[in-house]
Amino acid sequence: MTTLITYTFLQIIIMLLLAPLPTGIIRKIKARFQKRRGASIFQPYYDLIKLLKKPQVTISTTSSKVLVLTPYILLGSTLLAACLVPLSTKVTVNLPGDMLVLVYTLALGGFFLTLAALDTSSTFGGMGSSRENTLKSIIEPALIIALVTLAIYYGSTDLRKIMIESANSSLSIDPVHLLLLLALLMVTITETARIPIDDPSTHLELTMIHEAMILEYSGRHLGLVELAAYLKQLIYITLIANIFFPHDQLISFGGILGIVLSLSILVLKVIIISIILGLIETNTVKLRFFSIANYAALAVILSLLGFLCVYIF
Amino acid sequence: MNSIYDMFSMIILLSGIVLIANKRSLSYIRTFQVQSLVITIGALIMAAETQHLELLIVGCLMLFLKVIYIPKYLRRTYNKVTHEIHKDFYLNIPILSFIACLLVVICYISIYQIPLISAKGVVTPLSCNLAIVLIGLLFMISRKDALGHIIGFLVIENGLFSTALFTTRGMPLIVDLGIFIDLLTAIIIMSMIIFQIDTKFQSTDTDKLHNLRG
Amino acid sequence: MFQLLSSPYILCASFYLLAFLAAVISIKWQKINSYLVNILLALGAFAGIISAMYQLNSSLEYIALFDLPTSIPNFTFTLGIDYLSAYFLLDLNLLLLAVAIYTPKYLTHYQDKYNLAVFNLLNSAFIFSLFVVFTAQNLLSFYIFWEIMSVSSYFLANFEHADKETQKASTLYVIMTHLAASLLLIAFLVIFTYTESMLLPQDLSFLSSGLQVILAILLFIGFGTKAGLVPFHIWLPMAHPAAPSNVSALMSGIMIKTAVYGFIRFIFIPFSLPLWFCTLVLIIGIVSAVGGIAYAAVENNFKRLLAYSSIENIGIITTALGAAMVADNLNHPAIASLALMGGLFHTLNHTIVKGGLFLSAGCVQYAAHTKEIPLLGGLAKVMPFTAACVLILSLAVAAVVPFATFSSEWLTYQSLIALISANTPFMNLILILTIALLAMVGALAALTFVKFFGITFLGTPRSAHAQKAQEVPLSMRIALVLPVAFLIFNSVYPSFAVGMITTVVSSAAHLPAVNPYYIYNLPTYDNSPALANYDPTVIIILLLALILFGLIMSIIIGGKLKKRYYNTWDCGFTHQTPLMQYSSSAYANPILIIFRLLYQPEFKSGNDNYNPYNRQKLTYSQTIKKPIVQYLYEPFIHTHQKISQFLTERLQNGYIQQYLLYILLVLIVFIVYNSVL
Repeated sequence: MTTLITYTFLQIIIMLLLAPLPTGIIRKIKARFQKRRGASIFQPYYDLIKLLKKPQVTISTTSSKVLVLTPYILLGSTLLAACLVPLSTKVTVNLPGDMLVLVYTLALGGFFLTLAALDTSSTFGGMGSSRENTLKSIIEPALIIALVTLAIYYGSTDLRKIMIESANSSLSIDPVHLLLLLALLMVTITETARIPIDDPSTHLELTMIHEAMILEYSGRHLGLVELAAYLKQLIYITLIANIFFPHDQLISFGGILGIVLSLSILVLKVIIISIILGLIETNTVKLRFFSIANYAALAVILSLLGFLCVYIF
Repeated sequence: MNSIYDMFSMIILLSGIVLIANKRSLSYIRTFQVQSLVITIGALIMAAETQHLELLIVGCLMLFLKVIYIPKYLRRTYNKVTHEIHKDFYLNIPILSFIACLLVVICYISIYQIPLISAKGVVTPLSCNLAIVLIGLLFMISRKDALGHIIGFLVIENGLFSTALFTTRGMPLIVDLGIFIDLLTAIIIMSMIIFQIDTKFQSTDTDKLHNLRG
Repeated sequence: MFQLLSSPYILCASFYLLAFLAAVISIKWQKINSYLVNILLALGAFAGIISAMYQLNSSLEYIALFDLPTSIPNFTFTLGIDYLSAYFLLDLNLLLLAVAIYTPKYLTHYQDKYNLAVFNLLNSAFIFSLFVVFTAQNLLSFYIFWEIMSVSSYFLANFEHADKETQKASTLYVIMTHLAASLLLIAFLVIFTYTESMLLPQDLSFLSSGLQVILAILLFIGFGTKAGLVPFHIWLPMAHPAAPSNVSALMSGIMIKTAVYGFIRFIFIPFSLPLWFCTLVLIIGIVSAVGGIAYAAVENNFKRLLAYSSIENIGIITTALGAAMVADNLNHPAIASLALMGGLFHTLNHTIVKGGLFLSAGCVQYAAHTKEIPLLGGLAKVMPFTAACVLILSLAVAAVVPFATFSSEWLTYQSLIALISANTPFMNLILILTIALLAMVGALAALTFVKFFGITFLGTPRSAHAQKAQEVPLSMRIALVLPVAFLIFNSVYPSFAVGMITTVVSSAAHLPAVNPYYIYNLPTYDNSPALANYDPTVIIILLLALILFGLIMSIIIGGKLKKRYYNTWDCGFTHQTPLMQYSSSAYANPILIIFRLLYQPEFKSGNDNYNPYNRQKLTYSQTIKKPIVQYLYEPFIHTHQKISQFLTERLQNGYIQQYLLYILLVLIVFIVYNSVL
């Protein structure tokens, strides 16, 4: 029991500390490709601290309590999802929740975020909310098919078990993993509102989905909502890193040294995947909103082919 | 080694599905180029593994023809004709990609039934590459632009070549050479016809050919 | 013979009968009638809850309640309660408690126009017939009270009979439900010819396979129409909005669950059906789920939105039942048990949640006098208590994590995943597509209920209706708290309900008992068919702890919060009106366009009265066609009309000579036939 609580606490702290890093790296890569120096990769940390320290929050007069409650509920549910993600086999948090609980916990956060956007009675909020919910409904089948295929391949829907099995099985390059990796990458880009789907650095109504929903937040509420968005991104990146490229079979130490080594390699993997995401972001253009249906269909086909590879091929 | 060829077949299949999901003519040419490149790399790796000179010759021919020369020629053709921006395909993209997926499933299920093939363990490359042939045909059916028809024909050729390559380590050299010469001639003739269509109708939309009906 | 007071169920049934009598007696005094009848119904509901919970947690497998033989052969009025009936009675009474407390104040809304005493009379008849439907042990008495249930709900749905739309809706309802009931009667009579008894069939697997399939199809169509499965669902979105809200709550909450009871009792338990039929049930279930939520997402009338959402949830329950049938057919009894548990748990949760939502829809209608979402807004400021309850219920319907509806959906997902093993490839393909569509249904449900709650309760009022709204009376608010309380109990401690369901499944359906929830200290999921653990209690505690953590962290880093209130950012445009907010049709517009193959919308815009010197008026309209009505029902109705027209014009045209000619022709045919033989 005490190990569970300590490991959960450790996982929360690590995820919180690591969360703004991928965003910083992606922004740096974007800046470099645009021939700028760019802000330091730790700039999101400084921004978050600045926002959280602000004592005043401006709240819209038309809003009800939902707007004030949402940042906390959003952060709470995203932290819960972060606890359910497998970090490393040395630090297994055996919470009774599997991949479906992860997906629907993120759905709880999304529900409140999209609801609060309607609370401000502004057009931007409604627009962002409507678009975000639409995208969620067309990309969710791809995510679930990919996760269920992994569950069937490795024999359990519990993510920690999947990571352990994946670490124990020999590294084989086979079509299943390629297809599922591509499908999950496409889902990650959609869920974290990155460039082919949504531009995270713009505030024009033609191009914003996630930004439109958080337009009315200020001060520490904005800080909490941004932190939750960074955490969601880290959750998906960690999932991809740990399931498709497990590293724990290379570490044969136990104890504190093993944990530290395992977590450092995890940080390295997160940095590499963030660099890849940054490269994708700089080299693609944002899709027209109704073309995202084609993108989602492609993601579903990829994960469906992955499933067929397991059970038919 | 076999699993690497399975991977290659899967990547070729993926490029086929991406081809179906493409909307613009230049993207067709680019995707076809990538697909041919993957097949070429597969052929060269196979040549290195089996030490057959034929595979090396065929691989290099493929590199020059399908990866470098034919796409350049098609791009030149594309630049010389008038192009208007319109919806180039009949049904919408998600449905077309689902039909492509269905074709893959049908190919697999029919090939799986044949006991001799599953005994040899070549079901995956055979069904994936055969599906590419069908996807090429689907591509020809679903596109209105004449350039789309040419690319579809080329993809069918790609599919046949990669089926032979990954299943049986290639066809005899004479057969391959004959196919390539055929291909080149066909492409040159088709491009000339595209120029004619463009001169007559001021567009390469094959829907307009409908007007030639008596 | 009468069996005096052998169980508290007698108390429950007698309260219902007393309510009916009270309604009859006090038919002249409307107000007292309302209070008296509903108090009696509430007492009956309370007795029913206690007795059902007692039976389900004890080992009383069958309680024979009442047995009244009549002089008609094979027709005895026998009532008996086994675990399955007890579970559904628990379902009925949980909802009835809330509805009975809700009704008196709600009916004052109708006081001047319609006769409340008649309503209460019909209501108590409806409740009593529901009780008998769940507990009847004789096929004929089941059928008779099924018809009484349909007829009384027809009159209840038609309560506002002055309105043309209501009349059309309830007529459609009664015709469809009656046709379905006739199919049920045919099936029952065929079963009687083969089993020679009118008791509930226990095991019909001795019949030939073809006959079993035909009977199962008849029963499936009969019960499926009552449940609202696609393609027999067309009455549901018309009848539920037309009925008064407490009737809609009962109809949507418990009446469509009688069909689920019928499926389990009459199709799942007795027959052993071929694989293609079980797969068909699964497919119809998932198609209903998708169709239901797709139409709910684009709907602007909030009661019709809730009705479509009921179709979606019944689709999910049928998917679970289909999975159970498939698993049973393929010899995986543990997975069948898991799927059946998922279906039954979802039934209970959906009753509570949908009942609560319809009651709250009634509250909104009471306060704002309109059923259209685009005319509402900002109600959370005026009705904070109702808004809080509706928020919790909407979260539950969208099946997000801590709530009980997610637990039941998790059970369904796990049973579907567990079924994907070394099966035939075709079956695996169907199963993975079902799982993918379930995921899409969940996300679309979130969209629908964000729209429902967000546009109705949040923002600023979009019309005068919403501006003049006021908070509803106390009894209606108390009635709304009950479903929320039951939901929270089921969410935090589902082992209670799931334990009862395990008893139901193992005794009634003769499947092995499986307990998918383990306390954290025993993380053994080796003897469970589910592929992982899920313990809602731990997850909820962790969620609350983490929310508190976020709060504490922000207070530690930032200090005490200072709030400043100001207008919403309006991009410099100072004349913002409430109509500039997103409206409900705009919210669902992307879904309408992306899935246009399903809806086939027509967008028409035009300029009327275009005058270059005056401002022109632009109209824009968007119609959604209903493909099932158009392509399935209209041809039938068209052909039927043509045939009737032919018959009226040619064969029954009123000339006496033609009728005499018919008699002559028949006589000649008989003479010839006899002479030829």
